[in-house]
Amino acid sequence: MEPPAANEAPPPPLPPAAEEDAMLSATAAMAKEAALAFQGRRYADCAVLLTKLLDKKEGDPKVHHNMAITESFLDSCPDSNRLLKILGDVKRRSEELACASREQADSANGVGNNAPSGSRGSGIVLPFSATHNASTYGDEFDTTIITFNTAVILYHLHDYESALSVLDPLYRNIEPMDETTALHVCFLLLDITLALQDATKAVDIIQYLERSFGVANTMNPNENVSIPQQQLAQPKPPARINTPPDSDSNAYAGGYENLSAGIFPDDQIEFESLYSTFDGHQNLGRRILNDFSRASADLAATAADLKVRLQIYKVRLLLLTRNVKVAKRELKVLMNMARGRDSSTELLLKSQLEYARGNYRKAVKLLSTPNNRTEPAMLAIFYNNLGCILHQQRSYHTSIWCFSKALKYSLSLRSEKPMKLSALSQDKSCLISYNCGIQYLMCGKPLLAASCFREAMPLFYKRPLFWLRFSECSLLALEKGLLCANGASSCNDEIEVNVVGSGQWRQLIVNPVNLRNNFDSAGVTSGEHKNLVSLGFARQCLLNALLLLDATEQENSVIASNTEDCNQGAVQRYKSSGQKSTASTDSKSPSGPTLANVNGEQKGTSLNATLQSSLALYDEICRKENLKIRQAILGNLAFVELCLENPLKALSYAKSVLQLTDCSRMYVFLSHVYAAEALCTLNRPKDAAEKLSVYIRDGKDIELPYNVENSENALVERDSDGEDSVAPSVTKLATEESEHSESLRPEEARGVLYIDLGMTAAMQGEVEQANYMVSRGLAMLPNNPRAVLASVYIDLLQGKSQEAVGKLRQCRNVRFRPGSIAASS
Amino acid sequence: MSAYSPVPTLRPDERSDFLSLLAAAARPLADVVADFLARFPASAASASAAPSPSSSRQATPRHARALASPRSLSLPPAFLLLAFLSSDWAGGFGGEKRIGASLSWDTIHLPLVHFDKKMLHPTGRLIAFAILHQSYSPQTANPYIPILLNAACDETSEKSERAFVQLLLTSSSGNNNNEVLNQSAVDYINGSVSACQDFLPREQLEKQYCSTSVNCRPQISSFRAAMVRSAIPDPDVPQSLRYHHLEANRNLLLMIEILLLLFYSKTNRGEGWVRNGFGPHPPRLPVLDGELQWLNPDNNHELLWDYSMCTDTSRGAAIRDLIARALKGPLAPAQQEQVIVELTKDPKLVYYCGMTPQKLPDLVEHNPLIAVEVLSKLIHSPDIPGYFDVLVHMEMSLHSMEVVNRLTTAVDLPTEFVHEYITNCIQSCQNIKDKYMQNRLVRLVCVFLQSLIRNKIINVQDLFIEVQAFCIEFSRIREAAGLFRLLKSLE
Repeated sequence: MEPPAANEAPPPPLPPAAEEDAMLSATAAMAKEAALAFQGRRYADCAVLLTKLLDKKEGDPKVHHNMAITESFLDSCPDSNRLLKILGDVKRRSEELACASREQADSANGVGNNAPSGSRGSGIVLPFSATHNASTYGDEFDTTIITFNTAVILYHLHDYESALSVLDPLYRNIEPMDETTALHVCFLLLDITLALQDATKAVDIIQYLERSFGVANTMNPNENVSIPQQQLAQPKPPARINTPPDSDSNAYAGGYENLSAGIFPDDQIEFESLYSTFDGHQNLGRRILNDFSRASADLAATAADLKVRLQIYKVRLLLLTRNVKVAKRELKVLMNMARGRDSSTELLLKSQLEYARGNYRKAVKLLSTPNNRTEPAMLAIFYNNLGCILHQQRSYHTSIWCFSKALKYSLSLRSEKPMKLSALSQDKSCLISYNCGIQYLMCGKPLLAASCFREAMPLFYKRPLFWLRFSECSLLALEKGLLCANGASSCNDEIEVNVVGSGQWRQLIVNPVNLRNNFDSAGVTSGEHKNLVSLGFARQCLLNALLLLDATEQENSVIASNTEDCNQGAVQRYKSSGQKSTASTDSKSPSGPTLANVNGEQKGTSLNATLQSSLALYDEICRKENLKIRQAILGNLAFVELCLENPLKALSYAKSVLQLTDCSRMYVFLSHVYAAEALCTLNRPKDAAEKLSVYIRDGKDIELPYNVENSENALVERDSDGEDSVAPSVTKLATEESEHSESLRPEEARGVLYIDLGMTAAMQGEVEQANYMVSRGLAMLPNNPRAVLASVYIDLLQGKSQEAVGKLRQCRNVRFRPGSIAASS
Repeated sequence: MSAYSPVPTLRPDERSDFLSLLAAAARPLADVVADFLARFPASAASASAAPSPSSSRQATPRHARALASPRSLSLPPAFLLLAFLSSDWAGGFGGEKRIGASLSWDTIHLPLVHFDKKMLHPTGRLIAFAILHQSYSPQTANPYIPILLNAACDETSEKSERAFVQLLLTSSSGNNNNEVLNQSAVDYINGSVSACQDFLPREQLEKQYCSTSVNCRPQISSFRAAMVRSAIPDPDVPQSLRYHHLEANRNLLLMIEILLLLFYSKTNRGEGWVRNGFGPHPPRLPVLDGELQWLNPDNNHELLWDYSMCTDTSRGAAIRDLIARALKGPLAPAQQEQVIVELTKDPKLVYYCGMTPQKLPDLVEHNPLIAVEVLSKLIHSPDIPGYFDVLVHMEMSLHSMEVVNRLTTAVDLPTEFVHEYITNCIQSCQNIKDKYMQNRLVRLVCVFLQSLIRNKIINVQDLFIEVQAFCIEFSRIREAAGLFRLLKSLE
């Protein structure tokens, strides 16, 4: 949104002025000129200069790189793939050259560090260790910028996974980088990790930024204020917080003048002066300390800007981790900082906060305030977010309208001319499509939902939840009777009774081959949804989801076992950062003129600790969600396998649902029912009856298998801290009711149990028991066609065809139709 | 509707062969079976995994003799055998009788559970069973197994017949079969074999069938088998008009299996049974918090210009030179100053000054101050553990102690490093043989420790015992006594 030049610092690694005149060759001068042209956005001039430069330095990877970059700015429609390829080539070439020159240096002089200075190509310093084996930052064949740009392109292409894998090595070895580049790397990495919802990594980066750039506003108030001064001023009175003044050290103060002049004690020195060297360290310590407050001159200029940016990331991170309380606090801090700036970002964040807190009306109000609602990118954001809010308010259809509109605006970005790289990343249609798909799913439109999810796939394919949703499309289609092909029949709400024959031979045939389905299924299977909505595809989706879930949990457990080390490591790293005013001392220091005092209660608590704790909370939230997802996946899998006639697999999935710890009782019930069905299919009605009879109380009655509270839709805990929490409690109630209407009510579940038990009894020849159970079940589910059929079955079994016909007549779901099947076929 | 198709017919000559084979009660069963399979070899249709009645109609046995490799019975005779075994289709070979399309592998046995035992002579039935059993080689799944299973467990049938079928089933591997089949049908009927036979329960038979069969087909659910007639006389038709005759059934041909009950119904294409979904659908997972994607404006990440293009690589050349010299001997004060100034001016320069952990001991010995400067600037480097490692393990000296001491105040050193260093110091003191040098070193270490303690770099409690022992060992030295007093005062 902001012009890049705004926080583009002056070119960093230009040689110091003193050497410049002497060393600047013709090419260097030209390179500088080109850089200036680039900075001034005179890309055409820049390209001309670079072409000349290329004549002189044929094959120089960096010239090629800058050429590609310039062309991408010049070109109205950059081919990002071509650019990626060029960057890849340039990087490879750089590494080859670096390798060659290193070998050359090695052979030239064993150690390689006393290479003739100034001579290009052989003056490469050997890297310190194997950790940077490719090249060192800043040397001739350094590929940092190339790598960064590659990541930028990947980021704009929404390929966050690849971008992360490209950028992460840079972050790991960020220390030697100059500040400007390091900042670029950190911010890009933050955006990538937030897009990937990788809170842990984001926290790490934020902490690194605060530590290294002294922008921690709540952490080190002293330092914050004094960054600019420290830049200019020479060593000032030390931050005495660290090393309390020591009487001894003062006594030997005389010794230290010598030291600073560069004379130090050698072996001949008296022990008294030895004391002085040991105790008179203050001066040196101070100097190092000042060097290490790493804000350099160019940073100071943008320090305020930096702080705001970091604060935005912090709030976004807190919102991601759903630590609403702290997010609210930090957002306040941000609003104070951002006073007088364009605050549309802040307002959006505020709206998101209210959305997360369940204050939907307030969220809408805030959402509507940002004024630049003319660009399609902003419009897409506006409508999408509005759609999210409307979803929470259960206006699904309006919400779909919003998402569709957002999608339209977002897609319009694709056709914008001239096409810019940033326009690519502004095109959020994947995300919006996902929202849209969810909405369609909620509205019972599985086919539309599936096609939305297909659009969302590129961004979501690594998330288990996505595949679960995708599979839900097929299950919904099955439920709606839209699926028929490939071994799946619909569960129609109707019983068909064909009247066949004529005259004295007229007969009623219950539920024969259902012709109507033929047509329906043809409708579905012939269309584009063929591959997206079917039970086979659902199974595939669910297996994907299970696999991904296992993978993430494995990863998490590895992380968890490392967490201790990591945390310690982080603390260690933090402590050893040279800024000795750590959290502990911070709480002691009385002077906190900055924002620490703005929200009084925060004094003394370090934000880092807050971030860590909200990270832990978030992990817990994720764990719970993953459990929900897992039981849904397994339940669905059991169901799908039943439909696909793999009772053994269905049985094993049903069993694994039961093995989950903290499984919800609704899924326990479902898994019992599915397992029983699978057992029946396997000709083990006794085992099936046993499975079902866990719910039998007092011989004949069946208890409710679950009740409303412990059904799937447990209350969502929201942060409602009094001030403006009018809405939440109301919506909560609404949430429950409506979501229950979608799934099976406990009473219905009990009816199902009766019928199932009755049928298993019938299979074992206990007709009386069966009769009892089925009639009770029918009483609970009078309009359920399956219950009616079960009852008809029992009647027919007993030869009571008149009663059966009576039941069929009473049931309003029965359709009698003149049948010509039998006669004609 | 393709679901129904006429039973394939046999030509008259085939028909007579067929009947004569079934009548060969006295011949060994193996011979009869072999003759039968030779007369009616597998057709292309039945050799395929899932033959359908319609395709078998086109592929008559005569055309398909060359394709006999998978030993399986061609469909028309199979149908006839089944028909003989069951009463319902006994209307005659050449008739236009239709049978349900449910004669797919899954359902072929279903209407046949209850045989009319009178259709065939008992010996003929045994032969028919033997043919059904033998018509599939042991390696392929025999679709008739469920029928045989039913026959073996049908308590209403002749004991001899059940015994025979059980024998067939239990001896399904080739060798035993020969024994079983070496007898004739008459032998079995006369009870010579079956006298002492115990009837296995159904479960056991099924289990065995499943375990021995290589390619066992999924079992047929008893729920699928549990069908009732779904054709109900229309109650609106006056009772008097009802025409009670067998022909009525034939006319209706409505042995349409209803209900399957709980869970199944037929597919529209007659491919078999599918789940109807009586069991409740799993609920959809409610939309999770934060599942809907809230959008925020992007931060702008522009492509960066590489400013290092064509710049000279002499960055740090001067300091590299100085550091190289510093490794060989003490630098002049002015040079030292220059190094420190340069390093301060460009905090990243330290990464280009040519230092490696291996070079650290030389630097420490010759220019401790520069070593401190370099190390404290490298504190964030991923290589810093390597430097610390070298520092701990280099020979103890005034300079190394000075470096560590200065570092402790300049940066936060890892506690383990400091502890290890102190332990090394104490050990070095103890190991020195030369008394004079030992005294020197002990005094040095004492001063060092006092400094660390006073500056609260180390927590005395962590090292109390070790340091106390050290003080006591060298209590003759003034500084050690002083350190001891300091320790006591802290207690």
